[in-house]
Amino acid sequence: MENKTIGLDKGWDYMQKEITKLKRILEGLPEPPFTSEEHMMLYTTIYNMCTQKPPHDYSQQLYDKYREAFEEYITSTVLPSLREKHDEFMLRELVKRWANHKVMVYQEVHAKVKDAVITLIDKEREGEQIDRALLKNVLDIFVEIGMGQMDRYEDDFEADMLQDTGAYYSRKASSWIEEDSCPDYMLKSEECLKKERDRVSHYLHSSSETKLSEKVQNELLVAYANRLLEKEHSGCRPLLRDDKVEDLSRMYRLYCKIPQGLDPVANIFKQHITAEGTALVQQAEDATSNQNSSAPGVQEQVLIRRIIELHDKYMAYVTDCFQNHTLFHKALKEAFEVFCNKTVTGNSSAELLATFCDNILKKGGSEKLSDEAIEETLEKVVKLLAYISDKDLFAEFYRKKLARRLLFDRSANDDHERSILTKLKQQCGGQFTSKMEGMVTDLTLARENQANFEDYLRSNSAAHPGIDLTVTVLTTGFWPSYKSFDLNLPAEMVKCVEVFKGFYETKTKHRKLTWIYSLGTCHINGKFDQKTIELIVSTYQAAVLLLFNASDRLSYSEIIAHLNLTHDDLLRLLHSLSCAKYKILSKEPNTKTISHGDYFEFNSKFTDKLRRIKVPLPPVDERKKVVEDVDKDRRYAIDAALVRIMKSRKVLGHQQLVSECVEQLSRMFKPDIKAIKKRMEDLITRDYLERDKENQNMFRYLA
Amino acid sequence: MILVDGITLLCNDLEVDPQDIIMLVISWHMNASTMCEYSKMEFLRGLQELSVDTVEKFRDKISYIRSELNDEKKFHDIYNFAFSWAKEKGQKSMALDTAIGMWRLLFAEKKCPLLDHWCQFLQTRHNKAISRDTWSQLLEFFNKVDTGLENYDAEGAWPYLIDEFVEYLNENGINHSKME
Repeated sequence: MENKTIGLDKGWDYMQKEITKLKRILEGLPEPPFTSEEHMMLYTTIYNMCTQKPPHDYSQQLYDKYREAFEEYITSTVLPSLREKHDEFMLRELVKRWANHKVMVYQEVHAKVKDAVITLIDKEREGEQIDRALLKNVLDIFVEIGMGQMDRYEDDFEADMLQDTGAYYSRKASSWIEEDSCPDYMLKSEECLKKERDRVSHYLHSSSETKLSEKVQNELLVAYANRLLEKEHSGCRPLLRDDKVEDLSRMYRLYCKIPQGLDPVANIFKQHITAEGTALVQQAEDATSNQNSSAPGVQEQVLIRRIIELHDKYMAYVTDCFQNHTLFHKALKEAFEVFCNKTVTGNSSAELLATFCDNILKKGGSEKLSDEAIEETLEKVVKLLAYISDKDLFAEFYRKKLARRLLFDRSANDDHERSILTKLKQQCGGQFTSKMEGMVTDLTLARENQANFEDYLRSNSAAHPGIDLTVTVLTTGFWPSYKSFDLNLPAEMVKCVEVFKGFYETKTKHRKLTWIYSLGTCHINGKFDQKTIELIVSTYQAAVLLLFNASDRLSYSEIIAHLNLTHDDLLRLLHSLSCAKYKILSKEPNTKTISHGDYFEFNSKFTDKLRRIKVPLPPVDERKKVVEDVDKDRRYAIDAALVRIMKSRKVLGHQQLVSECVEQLSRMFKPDIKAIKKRMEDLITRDYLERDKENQNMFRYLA
Repeated sequence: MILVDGITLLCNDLEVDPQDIIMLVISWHMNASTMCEYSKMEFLRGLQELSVDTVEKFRDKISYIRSELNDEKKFHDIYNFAFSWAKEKGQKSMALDTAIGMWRLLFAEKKCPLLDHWCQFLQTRHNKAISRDTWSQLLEFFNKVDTGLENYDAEGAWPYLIDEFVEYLNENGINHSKME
C-alpha cells in the first residue's frame, strides 16, 4: 500500500468509478458485486484522504462531493422511477428504494403511499389476500421517519386510515342493521373487531389498536345500539326470553368495552326480570282467586318457591353472561325489589317469607327436603329477604312463628333453627336476630330449669302437686307479647302454680313470674261411657272441661262467671269443644254456633277409635296484632332517628331531614313520608324540634 | 283576677259582644294566658300598652284595635297567640271544635274560600285535636298557597294534615281557580 499523500482529484476519480458501479448494482444492471479487495481499497483510500495532515485533509470536500453525487442520483433516477409507478408497484418500488437509500423520498410520496395502503386495507377487509409483509414494511417507513416520534405515522397515515375505517364500517353497519338479526349482527361485529386487532398485530403499529377498535365499535355498536338491542324479534328482550345465553354473553363482551355501553343492556335486563316476577305474582293471585278449594296459603308458598327459582336463574346470568358486573347485580336487585314488595292476596311478602320459613322448619312441614336442600333453601330465602323493605315486619312474623315452633315442640331440627339465625345475622346484623337467638337459648335454659324442678319435687315429695307439670320460663323481652289474663284456674292447677312458685323462689328472688295460660297445654283423661280417652287440650280448654267435674250442666253465663274469660275467648273454646270435630260437650240447642243463652253438658257418649286425641283450638289471626306491633315499633324508630339526626345537625331543611331519616331506617324498613311528618309534628309538640321562624322548611333541634 | 262575670261587665262598658273577635285582640294586647280570664298583672300591663286609663278612652280605642286585624304582621301574631289562649290548659293540642270555632272567628272577615272545606275535611277525615304546628302552618298555607293550589309543593314541609287536605281537595275535584 502506498503511503504517500493522495490528491483530491485522483482520489475522487477513483471514488466516482466505484459509485457508478454501485448505482448500476442498485438499478439492477449487470455488474459483478464488490469484492472484498475493492471494498478494502475504497475504504483505505477514503480513510487516508480524510486523515492526511492539512492542507491535504480532504474530508470536507469528499463529503460534499459524495452528497452531490447522491442527490443527483435520487433526483434524476430514484424519484422519477417512483413517480412513474403506481399502487402496489409504487409501494414495491418505495420499499426497494427505501431499503437502498433511506433518504427523503418520504416527503415526495407519503400522500400517495397512504392512499395506496388504505386501499389495500379496504381490499383485505373485503376478503382479498394482500401482501401483509409489504404493508408492514411500508408502514415501518412512517414510523422510522419520525425518528422516535409517532407524529408522522399518526398525521400522515393513521388519521386518514381511521377516518376511512369509520366510513367503511358506517356503510357496513347501515346495511347489516337492516338485514341481520341481532345475534348475527353481533357475530359480525365481533369478527370485525377481531380482524382489526389482527390487522394491527400484522402490519399496523401497535399504538393504533385502541383507536382502531374504538372507531369500529363506534360505528358498529354505539351508533346502532338502540336499534340493535331493541330489535323486535331478536334483540336483548327476545334473547333473555329465549335464554340465549351465548348471545347474551357476546352482547356483554361487545358492550363492556364501551363507556356506558352496558347501561341499556342492564336496563332491559331489569325490565325483563321485573316483568317475569310481576307475572309470577299475578299468577299466584289468579290461582288463589280461582281455586277456592286449595288450602289457604298454598299458592303463596308456591310463589316464594318460584321467586327463588327466578332468582337462581338470573343470578346465574349475572355471574356467567355478565361476568358479575356491578351494573347487572344492581339491575337484578332493583327488579326483585319491585315485585318482592308487592302484596299477594292481601298478604305482605314479609309475612309470606316468614311462613315459607316456618313450613320448612316445622315438623311435618309441607316440604320434604334433605338436610342439604333445607340449608340451601334457607340460604336463598335469606337472600330474598334483602329485597324486602319491611324487614321489621318479617322479623315480627318470624318471631311469632318461631315462638309457636319452640313452645309447642314443633321445630323439626335445632340445627336448622340456629343455622338460619346465623344467616339472618350475617345479612341483617346482630340487632335483627338478638331476640330470636334469645328465644332459642331460653328454651335450652328452660329444659335445664325443668330438670332442676323435677329434682326439687323428688326431694320435696310433700310439695308434689300430684300432676306432672312442665313449666317453660321465658325472658319477657325476647318473645312476642302475649296477653296474660287472670283466668280462674281450676284448683288442681292453682296448686301446680303455687308449687312452681315455691321452687322458683329458691332459685331467685328478683324475678317476677307472669303466667301466660293461653300458651299452655294439658293432658286430661276423659272418662267416657265406652272408654277413657286422653285429651290433649289447651289450658283454657282444660279449665272449661274441669268445671264439669263438679256440675253436670252449665249455662254459658255460669261458665264465663267461673272462668273470668272474655266473650271472644270463651266462644272459641266452647266451639272447639262442642261444635267442632270432637263433641266432648253437648250443647243445647244443638246448633253450629255458640250463643250466650246456650247450655252445656259433659257428653259421656263421646268416643273415638284413638286412645289419645288432640282437640284443636284454631289459632286467632295474629296478623293484625303483628302489624300493629310493628307500627308502634316504627314510630319509636322514626322518633329516635329524627332526634339522632337533629342532635348532630342542630338545624336542617325538611327535605334533607326526611331523606337522612329514610336512609338511616332503610336497613329495617322503608318509612313513608307521611309517617315521618307525623312523628316530626309530634316531636314539635313535645318540644324536641321547632320550625324556623323565618323559613317554614327549616327545623331546629331544641336541646 | 277578672273572670267570666267581670269580662261580661267589661264588654257591656265597651259596648262589644263578648263573642266579638275584638276580645281576642284585646286579650292579645294583655298577653292573657287563658280565654275569659285576665289576671291583674295582665290587665294593667295591657291597658298601659294601649295607653288607656278610662272606659271612654278604651271605647275610643276599639276601632283602632279592630283595624289591627288588617295588619298582616299583627294578624300573624294574634293568630298564633290564639292557639295557646284558646286551647285547654295543660293540653298540648287544641280540641277540634275549639279550633274550628277559632278559625271561623279569625277568618270571618277575610276571604278564605278553602276554610269551609278545611273544616269539613277535619270533621269527616280527622276528627282529632289540632297540634300547634298544624295550627300555625295553616295560616302559612292560606297565605302562601293560592286557592287553585298551583304553587303547593307536595314535597314541602307542610304538616301531613295539610298534605291530606290537598289530597282531599283533589279527590273531590274542589279547585277554586276553575270554579271562579
